[in-house]
Amino acid sequence: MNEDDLISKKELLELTGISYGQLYRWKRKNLIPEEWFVRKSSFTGQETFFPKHKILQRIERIKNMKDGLSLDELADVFSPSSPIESLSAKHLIERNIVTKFAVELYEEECGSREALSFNDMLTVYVLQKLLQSGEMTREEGKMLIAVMRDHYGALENKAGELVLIRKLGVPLLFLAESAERIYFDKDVKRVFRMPLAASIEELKLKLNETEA
Amino acid sequence: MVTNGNAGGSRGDMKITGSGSSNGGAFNQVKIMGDAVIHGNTDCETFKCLGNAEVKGSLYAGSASCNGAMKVTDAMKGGTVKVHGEMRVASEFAVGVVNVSGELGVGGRMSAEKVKIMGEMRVNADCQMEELQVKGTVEVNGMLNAERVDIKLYGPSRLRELVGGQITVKKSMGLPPLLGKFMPGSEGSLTAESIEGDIVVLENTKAAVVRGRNVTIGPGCRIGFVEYKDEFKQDSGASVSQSAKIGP
Repeated sequence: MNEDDLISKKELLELTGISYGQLYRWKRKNLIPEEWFVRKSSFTGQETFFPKHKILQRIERIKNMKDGLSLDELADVFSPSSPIESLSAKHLIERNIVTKFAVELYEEECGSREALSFNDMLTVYVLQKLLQSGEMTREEGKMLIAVMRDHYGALENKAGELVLIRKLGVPLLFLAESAERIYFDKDVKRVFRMPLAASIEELKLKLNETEA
Repeated sequence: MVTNGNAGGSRGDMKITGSGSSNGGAFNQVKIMGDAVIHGNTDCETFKCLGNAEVKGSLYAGSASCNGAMKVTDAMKGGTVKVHGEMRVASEFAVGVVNVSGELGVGGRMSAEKVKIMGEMRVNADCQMEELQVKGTVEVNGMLNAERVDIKLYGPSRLRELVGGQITVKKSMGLPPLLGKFMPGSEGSLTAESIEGDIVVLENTKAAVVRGRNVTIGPGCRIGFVEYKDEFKQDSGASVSQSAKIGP
């Protein structure tokens, strides 16, 4: 996947079958972030391009969800900031949003808490996802908790991306605010790059679902 | 006369008759008859001005009405805004329903639900709304994005980008309005870099690119390039250098 790939507006509309009206309606409702509208000059003057992978995925999701949710509700799902209040860990487990295992590991590191804020919930959710998929070990999970606790707040509602690499068996985990491409030397094994935006969306949907 | 709001406490009213000033704060009702300067951010349920008002700071008003001139030196937010005369907001303007006869000037971004202008609208950044109806002139230094745009041109209008669902731009007919810098004999014109919408109907418009599903280019238009999906109509009094149908 080349993240630099751009798609022109014309191609995008042809490919997805949406109209100008829809595209701009979604932009007005903040379903498509302003930063994704990339202006470049071309022979007809200014043309608008989009990050191909992100916009296609986003439009697919909007098309799939727009029958069940209003545009304003959808905007909440895609927004990296969260209006969702805090929830207790017990509650999260009961609602099947996270597993007991992930919460226990989290509490081992951070101590047990009455309520988890959205950022804490996100940490536990991401932790669980990565542990379950087997991409991350328990020890690396602890690193994840520390990284998220120390630095995610500084991103101020920008989504960011988690990256885990291993070199000669030594894991290194970091949180990137923005990085189009990263290059490593040949001994480095890249375990995963995970954009947090997708997890934020999933978590919000789950929180909404179980509320309703 | 000086009236100050009681921030955080119960909301009183501010009433200035004649000439006066206030330091702002939170109010239930603000009523200005005459000339007033409010030094500070102001938050109120209703804001009424007959005469001249200046808010040196930001203004939130559940509903605002002004007969005369009103100026906000920072952002203005709120519900409905009704102006007869002149209104200037130096930075962001985010409200619900806007009704202006006269002049509206916004220094930052503007967002609203429904906007009706008789006269002049000037926005210095991007501008978005669900519905825009203008009789007069529009100047937007950025993108104007609206579901429905209905512009009746009286005088020269200028936009960088005009996008949305249904876009209609018509030249004026009959008598000139009383407002604006009007040149007798001119029917008004619109200049834009690009116009994109589902249904686009244009008159007296100069644009480099027009794209849409159904595009109608009426008399007085000079368009560089038209790209359409379903239908393209061109008046004999219009010039279009190039057009292309896209898709199946």
